[in-house]
Amino acid sequence: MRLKAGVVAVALLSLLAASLVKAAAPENSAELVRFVGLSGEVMPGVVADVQPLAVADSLTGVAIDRDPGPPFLVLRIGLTTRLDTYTSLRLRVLSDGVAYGSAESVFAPDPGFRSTRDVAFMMPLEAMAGSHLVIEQTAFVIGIHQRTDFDLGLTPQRVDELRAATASPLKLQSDQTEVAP
Amino acid sequence: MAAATLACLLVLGAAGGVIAWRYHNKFAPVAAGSWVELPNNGIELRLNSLRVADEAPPLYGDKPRLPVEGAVFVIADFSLRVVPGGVGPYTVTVELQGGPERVWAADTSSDTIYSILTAAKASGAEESGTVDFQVPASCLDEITGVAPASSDLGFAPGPLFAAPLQR
Repeated sequence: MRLKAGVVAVALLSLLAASLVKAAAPENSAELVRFVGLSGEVMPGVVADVQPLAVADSLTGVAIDRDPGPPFLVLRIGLTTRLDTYTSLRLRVLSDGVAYGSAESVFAPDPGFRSTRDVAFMMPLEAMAGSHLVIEQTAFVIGIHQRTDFDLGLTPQRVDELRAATASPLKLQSDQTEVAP
Repeated sequence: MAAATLACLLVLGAAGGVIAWRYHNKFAPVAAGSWVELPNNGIELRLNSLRVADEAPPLYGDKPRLPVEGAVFVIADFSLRVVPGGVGPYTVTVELQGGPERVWAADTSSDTIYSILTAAKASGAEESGTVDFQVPASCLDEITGVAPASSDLGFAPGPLFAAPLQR
């Protein structure tokens, strides 16, 4: 009887500990978000670098394009892998608490390689300045997702510059792989 | 109560030890030329050779594929046969194994082990073919062999097909 009670007590303590871990680190907990500039580690062994590339009124070759419609913030995402991973990465642009998603997931390349691709986010022009990119690991680890928040450094002037310099319609670069430097 | 707590901690410690041991003993090396039956899969696999190449066989059409600059192909030559009376699911994907946490998937769309498997199922005989992997040339020294994908998830060590890398 005592043994059973002990086992139950330890099981309950374990559950309590797991709940506390989860409660201390909910999905939107700041402790799990790593804030970086235009480059940072998005999961162990995988480093991303981000370049705000263009502000396009229309795109070619993508299903999400609408004409006329909201413009696109186009980011060129580079991923370099040191360790193996099967995890896909989810990308969102955050602006004033609103998340703008991308139609695609991004996968890290095999070790030793670097991949780059353009990812477009349909969003209001006025929301682009001050926006951040969040890259999130989609693997489920006791309900915790690691997030990395990239400050895109976009001011209203920079958004205007990018828009003025962008051809329309813009063709996005699909995955390109090279050996990591 | 204290005894039960101690027993649970011992069990947890033992489980942790097993996990740690398992992590460092994921694979059981298999010499080239040996047939290995993949657990619960209904097929036997044999690695014939492992070589480095500057180009890979064409997939569609007749142009060989070239690696990206600074990379090379590692080409694994496999034979495969279906175990008589074996139970499926008859699926296999292989990965090139490097150092800890370093794995390369078969080159895009080139996972021809599936076509070897299809041929072996159709003929009921041994069939051979190649699977190629693209790796940075600087990583060649760390390659330890080829292993079925996810074979490190079971309790028993999975087979690691090892062969001298012919350059």
